[in-house]
Amino acid sequence: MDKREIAGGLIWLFFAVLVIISSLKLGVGEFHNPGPGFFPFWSALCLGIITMMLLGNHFLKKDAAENTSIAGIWKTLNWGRNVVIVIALFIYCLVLPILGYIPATLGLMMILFYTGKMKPWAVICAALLAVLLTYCLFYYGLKTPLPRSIWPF
Amino acid sequence: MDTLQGLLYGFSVALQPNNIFLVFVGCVLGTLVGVLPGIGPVAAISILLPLTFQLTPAGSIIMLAGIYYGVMYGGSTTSILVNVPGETASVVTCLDGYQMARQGRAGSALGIAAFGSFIAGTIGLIGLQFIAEPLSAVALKFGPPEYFALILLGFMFISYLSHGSMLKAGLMAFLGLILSSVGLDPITAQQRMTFGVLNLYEGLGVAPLAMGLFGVAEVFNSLEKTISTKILKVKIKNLFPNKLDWLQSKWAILRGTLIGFFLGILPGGGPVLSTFIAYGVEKRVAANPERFGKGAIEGVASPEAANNAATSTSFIPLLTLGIPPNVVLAVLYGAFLIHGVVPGPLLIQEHPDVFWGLLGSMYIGNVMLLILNLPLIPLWVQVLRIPDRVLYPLILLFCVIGAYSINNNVFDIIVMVIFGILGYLFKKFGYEAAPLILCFVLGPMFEVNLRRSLLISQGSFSIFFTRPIALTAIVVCVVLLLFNIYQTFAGKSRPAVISE
Repeated sequence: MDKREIAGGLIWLFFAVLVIISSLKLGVGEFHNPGPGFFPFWSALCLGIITMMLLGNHFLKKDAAENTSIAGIWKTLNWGRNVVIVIALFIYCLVLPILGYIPATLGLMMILFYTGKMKPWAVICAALLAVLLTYCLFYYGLKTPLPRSIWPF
Repeated sequence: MDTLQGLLYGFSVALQPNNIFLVFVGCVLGTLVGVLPGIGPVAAISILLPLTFQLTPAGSIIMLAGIYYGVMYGGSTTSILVNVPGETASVVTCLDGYQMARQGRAGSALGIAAFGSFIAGTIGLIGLQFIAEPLSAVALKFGPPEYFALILLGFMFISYLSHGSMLKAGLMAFLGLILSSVGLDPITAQQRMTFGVLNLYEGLGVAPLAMGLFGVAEVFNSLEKTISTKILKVKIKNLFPNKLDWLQSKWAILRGTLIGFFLGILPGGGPVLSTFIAYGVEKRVAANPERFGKGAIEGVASPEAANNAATSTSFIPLLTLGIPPNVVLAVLYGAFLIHGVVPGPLLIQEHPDVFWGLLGSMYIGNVMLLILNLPLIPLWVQVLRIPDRVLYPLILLFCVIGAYSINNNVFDIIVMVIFGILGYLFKKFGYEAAPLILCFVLGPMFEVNLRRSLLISQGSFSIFFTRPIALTAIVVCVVLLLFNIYQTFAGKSRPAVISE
């Protein structure tokens, strides 16, 4: 039994039900006068039907896969690095409006390069170079407004 | 304006110094993206889209299109020298291209790929030039039922041709449709699934979504693996194909061009499908099919020709009907809208500079790529030596800046990261993101045309069966669906083509 398929299927079913409820609240309308909920309702219904077909297909398969766990997907992979990067990106989103582009991005790039097992001096140099070059390219070269800090400097 | 007049006008737009520069930048960036495995044209266009915000609509579309066809040229370099396809459409080139490189014939392989691409790309552009205007005139007669049916056909093709389960592809397609309905209802302006978040009133942006699903997700996937790429140490000589190479390849290039030309127009077709079919046809018609997979030059010439012909002709449905036939052009469609240009039957009339300028720039870009690619191959090979621990953080940085600069809003970065995580999980669980993004882009048009059709017909679905074009498209959809059900029960596999 492939637990990945079952887990995925249940998540999709739950999502489809949520969208259907939300669409009913918006008002599905009728065929001659579809309401705002018409399109998401039918899309979610089709999504739910397909999910049930997938789950049914999975259970009816004669040559069922061996007992594959969800954790098994990441068994031989270095997934810890991705976790660190995701956390760093969310923290970056929080501090970016406060600190502005250069300090916040410098911190982010140092974390990203550090997770690549670069030497500390290389991390600092590479991060500084990346931030300054992109600042010059986007802010001065392409006139792209980049976030400023809440302080006047 | 007749076709030749239009083309001359197009050259006058494309040959302006700033536009020539943009063609050059697009081609170089596209080739670079094509050379680098992992980051494909979808991620590249969505990441580089913000660079175009200060440009004119014609200039930005010219540059982004340059990236698209530049990728097709660049992808063959890594396929031949490293046996790792730079992007999906170059997968087939690995089979014989790498073997040719191992036999000391890397120059011939690279040369015939470049020249074959140039010939096929040019023929594709001639087709685009002559088909676009008449097709636009026909498309002006299309109403909501026709548009609805054609978009539905596009969804069916993209689901049918997706790698893996068609049910999963269909699921992703419906997810894309649901995500496209977040925001204000297009007809009543009522809020839908915004949860009171002001940033969601205009819906989710296609650029952060695409960057997340294809750029960030790919970075996550690559960072957790440790694969080293061994670049073949060969002296690349004789980049110009010799007489024997041409004799062996000329019919392969012609066949590949024809296959790519017609498949490029089909929704869900495009460069990727064309390369697989072209290779299969070449092997079937060859006098000695056992040579394929062991360094047959036709195995490089035909797919590369098909690839580039399809790249050119895939612009036809986008520019004339406003229906992107594949995922890359779906993102390009989003780029058009961001710049205030609506692709479709009125594009030639309302924005002749964009249409003809794009066409003219593609002719110029084709020549540029031929000139750039061959001498710069040693440079592209050096690019492959950039360590992943430097490359991927830089790609993430570009993604972050790109996402922010769309609306100067951190919310777009958050959307990109969330969809990056989702895209990463989709891959792990065997779901393809390509149907999602295509349906997300086309969802609003699909919904509006469906609702308008039902309003016109007072709720009767017979409107889709009483109009010939709509009926034809729906019949093809039903045939595809029944064919797939038959294949499933008969235990046969579909042509598994990755549609990105």
